[in-house]
Amino acid sequence: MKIVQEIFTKESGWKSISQNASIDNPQLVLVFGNREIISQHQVYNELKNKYPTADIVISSTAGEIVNSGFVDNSIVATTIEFEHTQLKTCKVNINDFSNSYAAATQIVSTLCQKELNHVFIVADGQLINGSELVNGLNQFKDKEVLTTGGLAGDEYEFNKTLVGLNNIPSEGNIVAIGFYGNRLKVGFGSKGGWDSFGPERMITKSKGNVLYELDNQNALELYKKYLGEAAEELPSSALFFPLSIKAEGTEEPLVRTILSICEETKSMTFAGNMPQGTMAQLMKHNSDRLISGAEQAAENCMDENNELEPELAILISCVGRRIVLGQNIDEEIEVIRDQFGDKTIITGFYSYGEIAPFNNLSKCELHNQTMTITTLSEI
Amino acid sequence: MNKLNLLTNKLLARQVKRAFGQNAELSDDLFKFLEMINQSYEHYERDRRLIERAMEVSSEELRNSHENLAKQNEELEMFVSRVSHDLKAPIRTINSFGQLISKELRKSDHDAKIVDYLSFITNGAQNMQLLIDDLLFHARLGLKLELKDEINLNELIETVNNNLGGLIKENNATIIVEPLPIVYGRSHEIMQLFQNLIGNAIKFKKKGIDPSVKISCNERESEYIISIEDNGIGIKGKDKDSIFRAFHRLNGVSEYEGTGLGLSICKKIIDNIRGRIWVESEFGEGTIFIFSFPKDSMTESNIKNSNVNINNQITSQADI
Repeated sequence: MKIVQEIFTKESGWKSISQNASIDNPQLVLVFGNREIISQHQVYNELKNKYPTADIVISSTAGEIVNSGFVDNSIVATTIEFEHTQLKTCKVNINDFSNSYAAATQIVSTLCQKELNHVFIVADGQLINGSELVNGLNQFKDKEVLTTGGLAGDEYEFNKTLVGLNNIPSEGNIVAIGFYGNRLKVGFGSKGGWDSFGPERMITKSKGNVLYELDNQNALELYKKYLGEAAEELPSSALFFPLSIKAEGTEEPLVRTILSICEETKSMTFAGNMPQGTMAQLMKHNSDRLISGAEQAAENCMDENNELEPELAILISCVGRRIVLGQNIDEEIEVIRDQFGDKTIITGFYSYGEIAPFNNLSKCELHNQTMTITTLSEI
Repeated sequence: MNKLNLLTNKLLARQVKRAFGQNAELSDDLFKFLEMINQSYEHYERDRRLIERAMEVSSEELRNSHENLAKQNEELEMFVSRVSHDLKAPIRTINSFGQLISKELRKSDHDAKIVDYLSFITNGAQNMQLLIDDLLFHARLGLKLELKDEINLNELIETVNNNLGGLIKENNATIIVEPLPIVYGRSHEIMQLFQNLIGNAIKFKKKGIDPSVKISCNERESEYIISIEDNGIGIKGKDKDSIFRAFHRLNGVSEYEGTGLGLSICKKIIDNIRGRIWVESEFGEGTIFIFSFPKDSMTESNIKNSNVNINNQITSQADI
């Protein structure tokens, strides 16, 4: 596997950040960047001209992750040439389907072919119902293929997110990359580091990912009570207190982040379904626990012998972590770098949702507030 | 302008002034570094304020829900008392007047059938009385916070055996009590626990064999394990998990008397002291009910300190 990385900023244009920057026959370019910059034709055309034969997968973000750490208002492009792995990409748009599950089903039928090893997904973070998408993607699991990935972000704006494949990115898209062949070793790890506190409450009124009531009381009012003065900064201040939800019969609780609030209907929209009857509990953080969560996510990517130093690590971390970690955001990337060593190329972004199973045996889940890592290496 | 005034975090500003002096001229590099630290201080300060507020709101919520629960319990307790009074009074009336009529009828030469019928009515009323008592006991368990007593189980068993004197004598039962510890709990509940279990051990005897019940204790690091072993009819494997459920009967009412609440009360009593209760039995080979008293901080190893000499078993014979 050969990898080169470039970074684009408005001030300096494209700049290479790889030392031995040469790649002959790239198949894939992963492009993560600020929504406004990646929607510029010129930026896309420059990439297309440079890598005419490669599939260019683009996602808007709430912050980019590159080898050296966290960057913002930029584009990070990671170009990969696989030696022993074949790729197939596909794009679907939610407008062409009745729901996100159906869109995922289309992806499954397009990519399911002999020797499919792993699927990586980037999807619109505002228009796609992440929980339904993941349920649909779990049809891969029946064929023993795991899926990882994330939902696109839009800084702290929660306005619109863009995803694209070999085109200027646009809204409502889901792009999937299928990796074929058994010489690709894929690792993954997903950890949060949040702690639940206070009483457990039942979700008594909700619809899809919109929450109205907990224990028959208005959820938005409850959040305002908890936030005090910080309620003025809603919805971003609500990211300090995500909800942990646990449905009966599920193995582990899931964390749900607040995407937006509506004063008119007194409702809160979360980055995943909030089924009625599920128990929910507020969560709090401290920076150390979040950072060691990221470290554990990296540990979980290692193979049984802990020997494999991955060639590429794609880090997808929640926008909520960026908000609460503030200027210490680089820390969570640095601990991962320390785990993997210097040879691993790191890319990734801050997202509105992370996709990964809890472990090799479990189904794929939509997470929030986690650091979710996918590692790729060829043997 | 003094650069130090740009440090928004008051604590840091004071620390820097102390270290470098009020009007220190700081290099740009050092100031840049201080600004970074300033941001970190502000960041942690913001987190601290948010979490502190959340903790306050959360403990207020817990306080409120605790108060609500206490109020609900109080209402429930009142409801239970009312129901008990209102249910018990008419049953008492049925029972008393039924007995009076039987007495009158016996004086004259009336149809024996009528006396029989009347005895069905009064027996039914008496059973109902027992059932209400058990239901009340069951409902009230754990409803109120009550103080724990120090209970010498050896003394408690003596009282239980006295209470069960009639049953013991009737069945020619032998009760063997090995030395027992001092535990903490509510004595009327623990008394009920032993009374139910020993009562069962005698009641569910094998035909033609006198019941023998052995009560013993095994001390572990964090708990006392008490066993009540009998030589009765035993329990089938499939029933072992369900016997602690309320109104669950393994045997017909006509064969063995009872309200169907006894074991469920025992389970609730043991749950209340955070112990465990289970049963070991072979059908036809007798039963051992086993339960634990967790040791708390006040409990010391005390089997040996109890009044009972290990070699001197108390044996309650049928002649109590």
